Amino acid sequence: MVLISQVSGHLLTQAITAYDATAAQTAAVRSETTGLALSASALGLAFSAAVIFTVRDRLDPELRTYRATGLPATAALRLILGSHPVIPVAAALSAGVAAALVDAVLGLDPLFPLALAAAFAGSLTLWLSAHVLRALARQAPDRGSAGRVG
Amino acid sequence: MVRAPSAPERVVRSGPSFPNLNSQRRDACPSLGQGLDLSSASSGAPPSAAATTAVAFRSVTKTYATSYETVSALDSVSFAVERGGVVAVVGPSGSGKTTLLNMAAALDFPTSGSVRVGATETSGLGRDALQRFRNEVVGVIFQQFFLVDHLTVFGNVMVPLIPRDLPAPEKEKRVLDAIAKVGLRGKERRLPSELSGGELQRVAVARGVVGDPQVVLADEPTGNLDSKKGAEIVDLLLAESRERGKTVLIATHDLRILERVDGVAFLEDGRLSRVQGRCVQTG
Repeated sequence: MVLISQVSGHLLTQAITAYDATAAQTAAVRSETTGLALSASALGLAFSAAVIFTVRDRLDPELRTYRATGLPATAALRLILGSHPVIPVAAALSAGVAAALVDAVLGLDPLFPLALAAAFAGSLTLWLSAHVLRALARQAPDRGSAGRVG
Repeated sequence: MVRAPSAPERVVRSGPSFPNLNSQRRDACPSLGQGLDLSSASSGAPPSAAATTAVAFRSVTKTYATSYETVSALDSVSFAVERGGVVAVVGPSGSGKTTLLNMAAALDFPTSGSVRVGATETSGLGRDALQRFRNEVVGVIFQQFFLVDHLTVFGNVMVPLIPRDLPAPEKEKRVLDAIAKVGLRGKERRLPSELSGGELQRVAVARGVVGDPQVVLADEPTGNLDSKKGAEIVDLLLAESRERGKTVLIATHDLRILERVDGVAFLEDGRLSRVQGRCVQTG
């Protein structure tokens, strides 16, 4: 969506330039499309939060196993990053790289999509690390079994 | 509150008996003085009763505080399981079986009292020692299997060996041996989603024993299985005791299991009501 905003802004700017648009009109179009790109970024971050929410529930049984088998946090994180949570991370990074390539070809700023993808991947990885560390260091029973005394 | 290990405690044979308790296992608790010694010292002296104890619960009390009330999961539970024995912890839902096994696995800790596995008191373990304890001393088998869904059978069984300082070929051999032992040879590359319930529990058993733990803890291992598959899982657990001298503690409400174990500890409402049979003592 960031790329679409950027490219559409780029095409629109080129089009109105061909019709002798003023510098102010061109700047206005660029400002609007930058706003659209920022909105797309916000949507991307919302998507990131949704992924984290989904991954958390899938992770808990896995972390219970790693805790019960005495796996160190580094090994557990390596296993997790090599599995399902890495899919959205890889997708975000791939989309960012692809968008940056298109931007570069069109002479646009490639840092925008790259920064967004890196922020997404970084926040997910950071959150995963914190979650794994907290789960493996927990003294009480794992979530979901605390109330189970049977 | 932590109590020092007490003197040898008597084997309780009083109270209502369970007539079908496994009377064939005259060799129960056969490995006295061998195997489970978590302390580094080895004097060569005859083993004391304390040294032959694999798991000891001493006045274990556990309460959970919720927003509305304080729930008592265990209330002054004291008993010990001897090395090499297969002991069932029996009681209705909510009686505290799972909490007790979590304590032995050092996944939970008593509010008061102490839990000792071999010479190790679980409450006294630091972070690294706790990880080592969970990895090397106990093997846990869950009712819900808790297999990692994105790992193959081989990968799941390999998990406990990941932190071990062993050559990769040795780890691989151990994993393949464990998989073969539970009868899943040829299915190493399958994902959990491609296995039946009985096979999933077999993988869980293989993962529980691949690290050669001294104590195997099984929480309702037959709870999600039909009677035939459940009996096969019990066979595997008994083999761990008979062939490898492991101590096996099984939380269950499946009375058929009681015919095959050495001893039984009965829990009711978080209290130990009685113990029966060999390899289990109360104090």
